[in-house]
Amino acid sequence: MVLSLELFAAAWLNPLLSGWAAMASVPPARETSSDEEDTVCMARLAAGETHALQPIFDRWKLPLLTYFYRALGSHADAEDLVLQTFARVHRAADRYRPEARFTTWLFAIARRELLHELRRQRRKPVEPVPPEDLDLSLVSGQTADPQRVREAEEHLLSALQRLPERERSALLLASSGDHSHADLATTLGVSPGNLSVILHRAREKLRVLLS
Amino acid sequence: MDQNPEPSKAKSRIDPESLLGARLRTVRPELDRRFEEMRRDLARTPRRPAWLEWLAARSPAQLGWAAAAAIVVAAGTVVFRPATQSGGAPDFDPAEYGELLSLNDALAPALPLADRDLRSAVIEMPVSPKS
Repeated sequence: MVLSLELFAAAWLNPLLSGWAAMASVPPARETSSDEEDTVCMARLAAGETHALQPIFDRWKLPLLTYFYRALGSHADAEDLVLQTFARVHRAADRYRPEARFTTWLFAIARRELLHELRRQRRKPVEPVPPEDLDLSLVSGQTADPQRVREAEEHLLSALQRLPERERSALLLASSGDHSHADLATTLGVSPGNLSVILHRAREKLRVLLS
Repeated sequence: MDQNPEPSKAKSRIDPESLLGARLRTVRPELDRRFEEMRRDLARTPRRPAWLEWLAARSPAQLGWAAAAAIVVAAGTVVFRPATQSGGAPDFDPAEYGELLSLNDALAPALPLADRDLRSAVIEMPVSPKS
């Protein structure tokens, strides 16, 4: 009897749980051919070629800026953090090991910088960027009414500020499409299963905050 | 005449959550300029060793706590160190060791018994010899 109950539970719960985990997980990362180039640049940087920081900056400045901007709600503060992150990358270049994906390493540094900043600064009112600064090409079904975009962006930034940092970072990095589920879990220092739970919780909270 | 104004209103409404996927379009030239300046500064300044980096990354409060913990551990080591007598070998005085020396002289003839083969022979010797 006990065995049949277990079988029943397994038959019903497993598909439900796996479906739920799939919903909460991160979509596959965009294929980037820059991984190898980043690794080469890091090796050059570690050897003392400061110029090698330039291509890394060119590739990652926008994803980092977007992450910091949405996490802090301020474009100016986000720019400062982007520079601090690259200064840190330069200083830590000789400790980078190519076994880890560069994005994982970079965003782990970025998140540490963000945490320092959040500890340092008090919460400030959000300052959405002008709608024309947002690239909406990846967002389907959007009309380009600038006023509406601005309102929606302000609403989103305010809601994001009210999420715990870990949930906010998980949601922002997952939405960026630059990270696989496993990479993002490594960046945030959690297990892939735990990341699914964090993302699910973050999406639920955000939905409530935005409704 | 607009019979149903709602569809157009709904069409222009934007779901804020969908903006999560929207990136910033570009960075301001100001950021590129600041990065260029920073990169030149980094090129001029030699990279600091890892331990100095670690220290620089800590806040003053963290460093204060670490220093306090180190002081407590060092003080604890000094205070609770087991007392050990670290004197050298005592001075030799024949008068003081007279009894020991005479015992040594008495036992000296039995020294060959320390030889292993001889000791085994003695041990295995019959208790009541026939002769």
